[in-house]
Amino acid sequence: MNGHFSPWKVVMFQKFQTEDNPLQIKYSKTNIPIPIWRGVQLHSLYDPMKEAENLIATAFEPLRDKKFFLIFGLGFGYHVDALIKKLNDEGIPANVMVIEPQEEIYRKYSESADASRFKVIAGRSITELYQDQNFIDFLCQKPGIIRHPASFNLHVGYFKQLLSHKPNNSVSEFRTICDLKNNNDLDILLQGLAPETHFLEIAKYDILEKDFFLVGMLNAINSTVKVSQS
Amino acid sequence: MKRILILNLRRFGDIFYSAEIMRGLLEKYPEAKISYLTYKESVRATHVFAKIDNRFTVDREKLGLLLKGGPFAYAHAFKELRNCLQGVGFDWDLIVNVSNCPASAYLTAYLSHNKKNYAGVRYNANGNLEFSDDWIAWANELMVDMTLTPFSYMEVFQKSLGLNSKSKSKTKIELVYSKEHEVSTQNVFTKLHELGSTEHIYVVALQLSASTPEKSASFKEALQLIQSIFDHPNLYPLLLVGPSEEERARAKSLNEVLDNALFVVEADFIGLNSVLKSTDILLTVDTSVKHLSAIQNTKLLELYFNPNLLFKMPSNSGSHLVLIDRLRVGENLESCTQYIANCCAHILKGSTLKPTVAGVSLFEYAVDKGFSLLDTMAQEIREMHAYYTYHRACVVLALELKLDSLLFDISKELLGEYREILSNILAAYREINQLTPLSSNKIFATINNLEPSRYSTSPFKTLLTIRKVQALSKFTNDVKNNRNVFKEFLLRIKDEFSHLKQIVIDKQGHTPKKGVNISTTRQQEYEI
Repeated sequence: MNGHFSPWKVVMFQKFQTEDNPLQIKYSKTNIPIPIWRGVQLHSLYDPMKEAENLIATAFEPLRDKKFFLIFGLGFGYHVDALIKKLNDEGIPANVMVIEPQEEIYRKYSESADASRFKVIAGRSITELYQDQNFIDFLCQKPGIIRHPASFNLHVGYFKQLLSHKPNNSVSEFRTICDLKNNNDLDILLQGLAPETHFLEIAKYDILEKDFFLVGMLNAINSTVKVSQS
Repeated sequence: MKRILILNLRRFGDIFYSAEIMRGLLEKYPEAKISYLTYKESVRATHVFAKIDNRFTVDREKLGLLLKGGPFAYAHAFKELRNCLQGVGFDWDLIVNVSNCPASAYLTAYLSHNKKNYAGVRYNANGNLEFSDDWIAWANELMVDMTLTPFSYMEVFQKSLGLNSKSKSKTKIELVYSKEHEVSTQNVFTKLHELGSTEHIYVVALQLSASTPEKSASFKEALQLIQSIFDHPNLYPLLLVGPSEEERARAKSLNEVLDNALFVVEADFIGLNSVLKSTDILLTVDTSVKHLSAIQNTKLLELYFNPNLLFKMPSNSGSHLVLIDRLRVGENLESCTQYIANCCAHILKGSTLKPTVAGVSLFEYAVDKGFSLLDTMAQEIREMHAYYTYHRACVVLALELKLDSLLFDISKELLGEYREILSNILAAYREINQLTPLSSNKIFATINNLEPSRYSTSPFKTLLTIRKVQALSKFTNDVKNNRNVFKEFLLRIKDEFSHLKQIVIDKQGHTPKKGVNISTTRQQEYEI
């Protein structure tokens, strides 16, 4: 993690800061830039690297069997770096995704850090998040979840909403997620229904177009699968 | 060039089992390109086949997770399924659904929408099951509920698709072999064959663990069997284990008792191809390895402990089968396993050995002929086999209008069944014509009451059941439509009954086959 931020970037960050900007940058005793969001520091001002290592040392053990990791909060990514290093040391391929509520933090981070080592989804509402196929695919891998405490506490409502999200399975939600094309049989049918209609209510219309065979198949598969709730 | 899609949403063994369908299709359509669609968890079984044009998968585990709810919308599962199928497309000359399950029936309906390019089962636009032909209708409507099935699934599909069996064909399924496995297998088998100083040593590969305890040999049985093979002057055992901790542990325990004398082979499916090619005979319980070995025509002796499982999915290359009644064998386990070892040796020399132990029965299966009972000391096994043979003849009469000489001397009983069922049909016809108002429920109930609860093997009842389900698949919400479908069904079945009756009458009084006993319990479903 040495050289994570070049010294000359210090000048850039100092020029960036204004009184109106919710994101401020301070430097730790170890000369590492620390983001301050609306007055809340997101990493230790003493030794952020050490803090990150300690966080991961504790958080990783119960998740040792996991192959995918979902991190709540980016900050300036020191804990993410610590996790990737830990995974490398353990010989585990690093499959990491970070959810960051504030796009600006991510933008500032990626100006001077390599953001390609892991996936980041930043600045999205919960609804948008659950329409993001990358996020859904990642969740299907049953990732271990690690909170970045400072980020989590700053956006408790957001992350709790993320964790407790339940779909409404309405026709409008269905059309948005599936991104049906206009000439699709199913979409033509759905357009004739009220947007808030529950998707499974459509069975009452007893219409069997081609795409509804897929609905039947899904119901049949559901009865054959034994998936552990996790 | 024909584009054919095999749709198989079952497990490894079923995928290996389907190789015979692929072989038959390649013989019938030499220029065909065959692709395979299965669940992601099973796709590695398809990698043993060399010439699959495309492999498509549906990720059942992921779909299951998405369908369990929680944060996932139903739309996520729908989108995932559509994405899985995006590459499959709809441009197929033939889709063969070998799965016989609701998921595959829906999938077949989706992929063959508005076309008739399928074999097997699918749902239609009214949500009813539809069958590509009479044999498939029989298999799905009647065979699934049978304890003792007169035809195997493979035989049903061969008849459905008009395929020749392996015995009449030179077409082969090409398998994948790895050079590394070929070399290591050759080394092992060379050493094993060199163990016989003066006599030739045959290697017996053993697969004694199956997916359920009911099908598997117990530890004691496995140990005794391996010991009996060791004791035979011409045989040497090689234990095959699957990639599971349980099987590895069992192999280790067996070797501890056998002073580590036992060769144990753990191989993936590609590696197994090499092992099965080199082995002289495979001695196995009902497992996927059996079906993999059938593709290479490896000599095979199957072990069964439950007669109800005997007839469903025998090896497609033919085999001998030993049925063991554990209760009857009792304390004679050593004699039983010695017999099995000797039986292996005889099969290798092209002969068979009659059982000498009470509780042991020997069968032979040939694809064109079904099961033959070679010998048994148990009367109930003789009766079971007689029932199987009789039932088989009845189904052929109903579906192929061929009267086996086995049925000659019971033509009076058959005609009695004909008269009773026909009178039901005529009564139903009168009832439907007279009833006003008439509801779809009433028509449906009338159809269902046509079948008498007796005569489970009756060819007339078989034909009636098949025609009934085919008619029901055309039912809609429109009463007028349903009435017409019903009348058409009744008139058709009446004509077909007449034809079937005439076939029976024409042969009435002919000399029956000698030495064949008809089961006296044919009036009820046979149970062991």
